[in-house]
Amino acid sequence: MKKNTLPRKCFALCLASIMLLMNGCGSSDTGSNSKNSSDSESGRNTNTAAEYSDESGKITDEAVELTIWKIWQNDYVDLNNLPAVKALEEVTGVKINYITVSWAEASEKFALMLTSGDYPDIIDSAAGSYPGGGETAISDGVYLELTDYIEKYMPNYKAYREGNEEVRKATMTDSGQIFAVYMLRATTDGTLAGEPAWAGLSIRKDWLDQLDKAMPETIDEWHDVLTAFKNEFNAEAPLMINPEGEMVTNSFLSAYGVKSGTGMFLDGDTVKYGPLEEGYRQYVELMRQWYAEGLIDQNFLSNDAGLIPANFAASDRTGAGGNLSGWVNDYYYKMGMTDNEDFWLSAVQAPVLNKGETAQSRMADSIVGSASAITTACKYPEIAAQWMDFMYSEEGLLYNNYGILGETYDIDADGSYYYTDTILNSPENLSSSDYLYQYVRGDGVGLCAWDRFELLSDESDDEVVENPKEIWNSDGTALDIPGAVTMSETEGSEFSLLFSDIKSYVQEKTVSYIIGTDSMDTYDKFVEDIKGMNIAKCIEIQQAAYERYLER
Amino acid sequence: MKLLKNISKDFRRNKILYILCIPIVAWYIIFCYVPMTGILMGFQNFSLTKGIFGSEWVGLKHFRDFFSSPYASRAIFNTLALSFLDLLFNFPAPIIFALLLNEVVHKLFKRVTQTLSYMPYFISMVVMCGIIVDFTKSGGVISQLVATITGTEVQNLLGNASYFRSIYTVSNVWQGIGFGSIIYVAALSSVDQELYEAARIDGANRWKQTLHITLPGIASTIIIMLILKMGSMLSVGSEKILLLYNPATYSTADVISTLVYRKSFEEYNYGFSTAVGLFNSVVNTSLLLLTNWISRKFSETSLF
Repeated sequence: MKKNTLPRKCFALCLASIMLLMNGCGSSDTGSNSKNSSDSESGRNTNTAAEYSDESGKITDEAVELTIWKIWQNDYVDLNNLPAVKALEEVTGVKINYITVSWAEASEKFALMLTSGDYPDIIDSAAGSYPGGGETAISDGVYLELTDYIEKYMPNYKAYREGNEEVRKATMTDSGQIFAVYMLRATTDGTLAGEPAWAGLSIRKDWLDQLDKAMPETIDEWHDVLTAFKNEFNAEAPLMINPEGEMVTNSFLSAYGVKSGTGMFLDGDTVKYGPLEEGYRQYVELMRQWYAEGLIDQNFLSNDAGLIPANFAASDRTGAGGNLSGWVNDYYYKMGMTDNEDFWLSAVQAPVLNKGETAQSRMADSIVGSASAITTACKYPEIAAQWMDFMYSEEGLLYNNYGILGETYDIDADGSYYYTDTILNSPENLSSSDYLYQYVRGDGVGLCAWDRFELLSDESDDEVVENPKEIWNSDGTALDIPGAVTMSETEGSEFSLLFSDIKSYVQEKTVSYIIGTDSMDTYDKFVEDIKGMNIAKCIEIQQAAYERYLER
Repeated sequence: MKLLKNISKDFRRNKILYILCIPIVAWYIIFCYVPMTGILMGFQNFSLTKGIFGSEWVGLKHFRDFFSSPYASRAIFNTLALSFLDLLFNFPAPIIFALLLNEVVHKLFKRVTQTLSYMPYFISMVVMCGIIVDFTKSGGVISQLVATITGTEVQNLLGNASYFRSIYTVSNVWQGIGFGSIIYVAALSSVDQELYEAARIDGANRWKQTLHITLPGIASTIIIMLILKMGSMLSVGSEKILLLYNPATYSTADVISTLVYRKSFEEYNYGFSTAVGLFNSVVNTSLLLLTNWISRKFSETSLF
């Protein structure tokens, strides 16, 4: 009797079709399709732009909706539902549809967005990551060139740019094009000001007091203090440095007038490279000697970043190292990481060679923050420009940094702002500043009032607590190359191709000199080798870029 | 055309089997063969907005850039060295382990040992590297052990370039020995017991039995695993090395993938990384084909 195979065949067929369907969804497509991006300027219909009214802030009566692409991560709320965001929509009359991505997937999503050709109206704060730079973005037909828009529709932003030379230069390209609107850091009253240093050198003040020593200022004094730490307190690693053999804030290097080998520095108006200079050799010799004496962490190669790890600081294994502004003073004691109630990690200025000098260790104050661009896909660029400009007004600042009047903040009798209890009494698992992000957008296109954080931090005890940011701010910034200096696409790729190998070489050799694998006799050859790797070309490129920046 | 006639005859007879194959073949075509057009990126200055067919063609520029780096030859040497060491130690280890397990009579002990040996495999790479970093610091367990054995003073082992290869290989063996032995244990169980009995009657001791019965019995499995392993010679795990290396060990730890990582870290240099990836794949494939051909010549086993 022949077996009825029909049911079996049907079953097999069903299985096959299910598998085929399931393969269709899920796996990511790794191929790229090239859709042409929309043409620029020509062919777009110009809308009748409504009058920009300074008083009401209302930009348009028409129902305009803008899509904004932004990196934003919050486990609790969606950016589109934030009270301050909704309030802004009412005030400006422009509906915003935020497309948010998390930090982890940001670069991938950005690349996908560009490849798909489906651009949002505005790219918020991420416009600077366009591969090839802003000018390429304009020539590729992705970003709009904004000089005219700023001139006609953005009076607030225009005023800020023209009032500050540094800002004006940093927000344009070498050839005079403007491809983005930049976030500007300011104080709540709207005055532009760079955020003070939030990381720097720190040292155990309570140990210093026990030893009856003053804060070390010169390198010799530091040597003294570190030796005492080692001998008196058995500190295993009196000074912490990062795996490249330097300090996160260039703290000891700058005493010799040079900066780290991972970048270049300025001497007056000349671009120079640290490892080629005599100062770098002196630094390496110093570190080498200190390492041999046991004053430097023997395991510095295995540490991340060179900031003092909590377990080191709290357990008395180290006396000094780089740290963040929130983690100094008695933070470790407050957090319960140590029982020592005298524990005090004090911020300290970077050391110098001779008393009275100031170390030029810091990066330049940055008023200019991240870049936001209007794409060519935007159908209402004038309205987008006006909307962005509103963020640079006093009202815009308040909405983005403080929230809703009466609900999240209020005004004092003398006109100063303060946060209400709604924010200050944040739920248990959140700090006030984190909780504030459930109400306001925070950083993005517009003014960033960083002084709001001081209002949010917990009230400290009555005792006068020294402000680490002020201490660190007294270090100079003369050596730093401004971040706004840019290279063209071809220059940039040539530079990074040569420079990455030079960087690796310098790091390798610096570390080997410090731990003693190589003898200092080979140092001259080390400098010769760097020159042989065409560092001159790199310096030349960087110098040309800097000079173009000066001429903007 | 005879081939086509054969296929169509077979198709008529086994229609269902062919239809069953369709999803898998489609999957391979869509996700493995079509994306191969991405190889073109390695010869272009790839721009995201212009796509593959709009980007500028630069020919062998990326390859030239890669090989002109003073570190390229060192990176290639290190990659091959680490792969070779891995092959030398990490390949026989599971086999020996499986053979030893096979000798164990006590069932419970055998099972417990096997299960315990699998566990290190499931530790995530990051956790593993954290453990290694901790143990090899100057206060760590392993560095102190090494210091007492070699009589030198305690040092940070990961800061010493000559130790890197050993640390890398030994931790690989420790992690992989249990899981890798699974397939060999399975192969061993398929060896006919009667052969052993016959050998014992002939007077062979355990060692001779292993040599003449067990090893030839699992020889085909070993050869297939070897050929497969040759196919990944140049793809030495970069995540592990990235987590363990530092400037002091660049001379032995820097491999092709970490070099490329450092060179194109900040840029979206798809073209460059595709070019190096293509180089990797070409070398791996040739090694695979070579090993397969050798094995076909000298034994009956081969992958294809």
